[in-house]
Amino acid sequence: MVKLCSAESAIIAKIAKNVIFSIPILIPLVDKADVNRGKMFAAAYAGYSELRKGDPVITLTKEEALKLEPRLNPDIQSAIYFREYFIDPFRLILMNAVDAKRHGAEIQTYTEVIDILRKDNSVTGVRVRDKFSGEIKDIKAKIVVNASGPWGSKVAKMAELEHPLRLNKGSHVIFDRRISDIGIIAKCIDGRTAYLFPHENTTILGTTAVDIFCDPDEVETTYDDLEYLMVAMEKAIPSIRQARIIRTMTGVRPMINQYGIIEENVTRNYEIIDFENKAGVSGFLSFGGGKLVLYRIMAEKMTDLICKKLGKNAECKTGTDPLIGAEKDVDVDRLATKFGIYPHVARKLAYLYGTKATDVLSLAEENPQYKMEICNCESILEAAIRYSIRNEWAKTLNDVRRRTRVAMGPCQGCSCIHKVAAVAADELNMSPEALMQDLGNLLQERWKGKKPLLLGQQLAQEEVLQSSYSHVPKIHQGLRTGEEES
Amino acid sequence: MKDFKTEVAVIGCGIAGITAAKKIASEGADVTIFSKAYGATAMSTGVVDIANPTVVKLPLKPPEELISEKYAKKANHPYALIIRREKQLEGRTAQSEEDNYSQTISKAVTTFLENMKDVDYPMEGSLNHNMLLIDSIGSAKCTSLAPPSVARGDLTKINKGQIIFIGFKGHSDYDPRLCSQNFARTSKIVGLPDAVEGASGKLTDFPGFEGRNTLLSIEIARRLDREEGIATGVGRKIGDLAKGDGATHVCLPPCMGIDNVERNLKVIGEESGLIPFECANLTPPSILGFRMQLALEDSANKSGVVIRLPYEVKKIEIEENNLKRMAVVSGERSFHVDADRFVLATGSFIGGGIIEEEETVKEPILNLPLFDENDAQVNSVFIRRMLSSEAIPIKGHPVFSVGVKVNENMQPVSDKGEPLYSNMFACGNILSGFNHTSSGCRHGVAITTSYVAGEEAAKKQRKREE
Amino acid sequence: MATTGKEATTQAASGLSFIKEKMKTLSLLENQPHEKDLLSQLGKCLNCGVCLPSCPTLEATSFEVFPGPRGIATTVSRVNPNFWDIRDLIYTCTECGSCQEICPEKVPVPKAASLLRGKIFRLRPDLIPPGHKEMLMNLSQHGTSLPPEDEELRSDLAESAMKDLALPYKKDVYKGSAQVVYFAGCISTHRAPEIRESGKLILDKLGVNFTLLKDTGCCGLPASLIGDMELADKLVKSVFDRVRQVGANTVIATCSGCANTLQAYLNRMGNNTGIRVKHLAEYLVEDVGSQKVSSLAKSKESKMKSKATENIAIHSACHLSRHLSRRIQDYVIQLAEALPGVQITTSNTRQKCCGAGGLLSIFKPDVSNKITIARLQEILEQEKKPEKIVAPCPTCVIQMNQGVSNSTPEIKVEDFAVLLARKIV
Repeated sequence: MVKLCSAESAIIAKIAKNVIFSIPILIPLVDKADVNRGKMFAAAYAGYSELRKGDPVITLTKEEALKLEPRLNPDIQSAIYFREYFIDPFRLILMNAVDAKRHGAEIQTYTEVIDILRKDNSVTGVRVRDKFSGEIKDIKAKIVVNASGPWGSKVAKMAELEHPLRLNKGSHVIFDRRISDIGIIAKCIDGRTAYLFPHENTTILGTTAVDIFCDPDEVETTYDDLEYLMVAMEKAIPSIRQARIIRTMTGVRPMINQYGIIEENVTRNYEIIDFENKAGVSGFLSFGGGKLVLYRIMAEKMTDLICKKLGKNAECKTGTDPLIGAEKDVDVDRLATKFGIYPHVARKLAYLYGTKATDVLSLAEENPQYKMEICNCESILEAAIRYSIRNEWAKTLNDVRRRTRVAMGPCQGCSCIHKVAAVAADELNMSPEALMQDLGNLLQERWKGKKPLLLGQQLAQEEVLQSSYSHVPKIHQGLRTGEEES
Repeated sequence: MKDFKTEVAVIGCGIAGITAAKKIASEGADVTIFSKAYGATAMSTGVVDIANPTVVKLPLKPPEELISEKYAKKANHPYALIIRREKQLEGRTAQSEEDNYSQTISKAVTTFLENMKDVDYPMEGSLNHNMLLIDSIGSAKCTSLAPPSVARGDLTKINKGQIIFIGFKGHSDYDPRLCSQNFARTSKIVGLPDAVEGASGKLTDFPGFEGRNTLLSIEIARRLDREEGIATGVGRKIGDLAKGDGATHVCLPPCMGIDNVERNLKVIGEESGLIPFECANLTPPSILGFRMQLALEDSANKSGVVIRLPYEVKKIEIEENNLKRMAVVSGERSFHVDADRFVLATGSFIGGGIIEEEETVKEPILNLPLFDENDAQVNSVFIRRMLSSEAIPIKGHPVFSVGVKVNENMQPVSDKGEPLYSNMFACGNILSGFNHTSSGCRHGVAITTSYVAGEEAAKKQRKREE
Repeated sequence: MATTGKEATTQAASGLSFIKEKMKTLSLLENQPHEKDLLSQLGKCLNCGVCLPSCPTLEATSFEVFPGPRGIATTVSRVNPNFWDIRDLIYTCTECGSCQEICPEKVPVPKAASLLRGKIFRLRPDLIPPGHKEMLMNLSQHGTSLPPEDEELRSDLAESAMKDLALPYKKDVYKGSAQVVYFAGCISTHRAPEIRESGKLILDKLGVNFTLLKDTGCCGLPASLIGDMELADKLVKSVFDRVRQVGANTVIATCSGCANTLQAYLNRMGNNTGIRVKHLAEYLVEDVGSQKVSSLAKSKESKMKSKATENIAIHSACHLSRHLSRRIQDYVIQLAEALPGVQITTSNTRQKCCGAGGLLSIFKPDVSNKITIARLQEILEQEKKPEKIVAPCPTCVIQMNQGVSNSTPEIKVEDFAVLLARKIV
């Protein structure tokens, strides 16, 4: 598994080079048991460093570790250093979608599969509902691939098939800015590991592992999830509680359904289930398990299977051809000069869009006001917002947020969402009713992440936001249809 | 560092602090304001909500009526306290339902308006009328007192007209197209008469800033103030854009100047042939808030009240159950300031009058007991228990109603209702009993409670509370 | 250097340097805890924009040239782990602190800008602006920000400057030991001698047992604004070494920049050296008493045949009011108010920077000049027009005088020490 992950991370680093970044990591080793575990880890990892084109695993003395990260808890024996890749998952997914489109795929967002069509022992297509218009229609397909992640079981059931998954919740705390430029690993109260990783211009502390049984849509982040992480990292970096928490984030892992073992020992390998073999029903293939770094190989294997079924003979090129935008490095200074924007704004665009940054800025050639800065925290221009709507399937404010990073900085949209809304309204021709509803949705979505751990500056920030928006009618959850209240 | 003394120390230089200090000065006491920085006032909407209705729908009840019907009915709301005090002073019997008119509130409002007029920042409005304004995204904002540049946009006073929305390219704070579209929806929600229509929203270049990508409100305001002919240019552009539209009014972003707003708007009005007004500010940065802060400071100056900024009050020492001596830090220097009476006008989380410590709330200078809107003491209640699951709840998040509980004389009290120190008073957002973000009485509570706190703090002798 | 397998786990000392090299290639910088602490304080920014109207540089330029202090707070370490992309902003900031003064969260933009200049200096010296490099040469060579003139010429210029003011000239006195050191600083010593001389006269008149330092040297502020923290430290340490040599426990400075920088050094040393640093205004109020100063002035005035009243505006020097303590600027006003024949016209005590802050006059002189003109215009637009601007800092005085000569307003600019000397000596 490690070998596979290592090889894949090297591939992704090449095909998505603009959104990937490398972080050095330190594992402080507190006691003898740690030191032994560390030795085993190093031995296992070291063998693959060449494969992943990474650094060797290095053991450091306590003094050396403290030199690298002076805020470490000095109560350690030694430390281990290695290097890992990190990626912006939103942009990665988007780049894959754009690439798929380039190769002829059609992508329909906000189109919910509500049923899988079956005729006897064949799956013949899907029934979908447009979430905006409510329109329902059937789409025929020779093969239906269930790649719905944690909703995998739910979707399989629509085809009257069973694909049990073990759903497991993982939460993160997100801090403003980089607390450390080195990732730090710490031990949690139950022996699991927590990690503090600088992630682009934030720092992420994760992650938990709580088995859940509800619908992934219902999942909530609890105070316990977050305190579990804070307590762990406090042991490694005592000053962590002084850092500004901007929000929290929770996702659900669709693990392979292994029962009777703790989450840590559940395999992270992936499964591709061909229901023709499993249940005698053709035309339905389902993914289970896996991890982000394996996304490409999972897709490759699935596609190989599909090709076999459809009798197509084609070579997989996803491992060699760069995704759109990642063809080569961007000359940030030249970009800044050419379009007359700040160098740091150019760098942000280069990070998000790679070589496509030129396309984004070219929108401003037709309309110079698209160079207006909308989000101060993340230095995002109007052009990026319009580009995400025109070319990246952004249909709601939350979509725009995920693609451009507006409202993901410390102010969490306090200052910019109405500006984003204005641009989106213009671009999408939204009715004011729909727009205000969407604004309310964005605020609600941001709130979901802030509420579990609203402390320090975020409280003052929240007071600003509340004071600004409290009078805006119809932005409250309950008032969807104009109910009065006393 | 030399220590010094002042008779009354007011901590905080926002609308509450300055209003209290002026009242104290007018009563003949010597008063100094100490502040560590700016707070919520400088970034606020710059208009005073005295008593807004919960649902903004025409016809709007006046503040006077709403105070009586709604706010004063809540026993621990600052307005209710003020009314009770008045009745006690007048020897009236227990609160009767109908009799909730308050002379004090009325005097506080009048005094505030006089103070602002006195420094050439007149504000319009009264207790008899609630205004209906358009904010920068086209939703309705109700308020009571506003500068004329904003009050001219009071939809309740525009009986017939057509409003065109004009904004400037590069100025992201105000998108006139969104404002105009949302206005149509807002009209229906609030029940605006058909005679008041919204026309289109258009963007135009700001004269002198052509080709600029991003314009800040402060840049627009300054340019209008300082460069001759800019206002004329703006007026002409508006006139051109409004031709044939039948527009009578033009809604502009709330940054049409700092020192010369009226002059600028007059020129714009003449050149365009329309009646211009500034919309209400939505999120900071707020030029309206900044203007109000400056006007308040001028007003303090006029009364001879010195604002010492940045002078941060860290602690106040106690002597025989009275507050006595402040430990103050200014830059690299620390010293002490003695005072006979103290007024806390330090605000809420923005101002730092209330902070988060160990996941609960704290008043940082004296560690005073803090209460929520229901008079429950919340000093060790976790903040996460004081948050609603809705992002923008109608009643606001409970945490933003946390504050110091005061008696009718604006003296902070314990949970038993006894004044903690006989020579300490509090006013503004640091008070509990109302939600600072959503109550619809922001700044209204500030100017009224600081009037009372000022009156009380000016008294050199206090009768011993029995 | 082992690369794979078992050898990898037995890396020793060279492992650390390998990692450090790697971090450099990843554009990651090493940050000491105090540096990280400072930079993370930028994260307190609420994006409220209250700082924007207070920024002199934004006022003189535009959002696209300088996005204001909020721009620095939101972009530093939010765009890239390093700071090269925003270096222009860092050098354009005057580090005046007008923003931090009113910021609800007290975001330390000036200190952060200073820190980042230090990083650029150490790690990307190719990015240092040419004007800074030039000044650095002077500092490294001569220990002062300006090439010093010949000593005889210097004292001649000083003497003639005092003659112009109808004030006596007293030759420098260097004592082997004294309680008080008068540190005039490099700017007034080499470019505004009347300030240095006035300081001497005042202390003399008050009977203070003080000495000057031979070869004034420099407090190190210009070096730290260029980012050369090592040189800055060396320069300031040399000042204190000589202060200790004469056994003084008090250093008086007439320059706000010096007073603040010397104090900052003492803070770094833990404030347990037994030496205090005071600006002249501070010393006069606290150690001498403003009563005494005032009575000396009244006594001088009574002997004068014609008693004229000067209308003066007092300029708020940033290093004094915003970095050292607003209280001391208040002392300046207190002392000036107590002088007979002086009428103060300024009601605004929180004026913005004169334009010389942060070495902006060297990096972007056109912007710096615009800021100065704005200051002058503000003062001249007051109802009660002053005839003179008084500032407690030689840099402000020089900058504003330059501004006067670059534009047309007829107004004199004078240092606070010179005003006092004229009034009491």
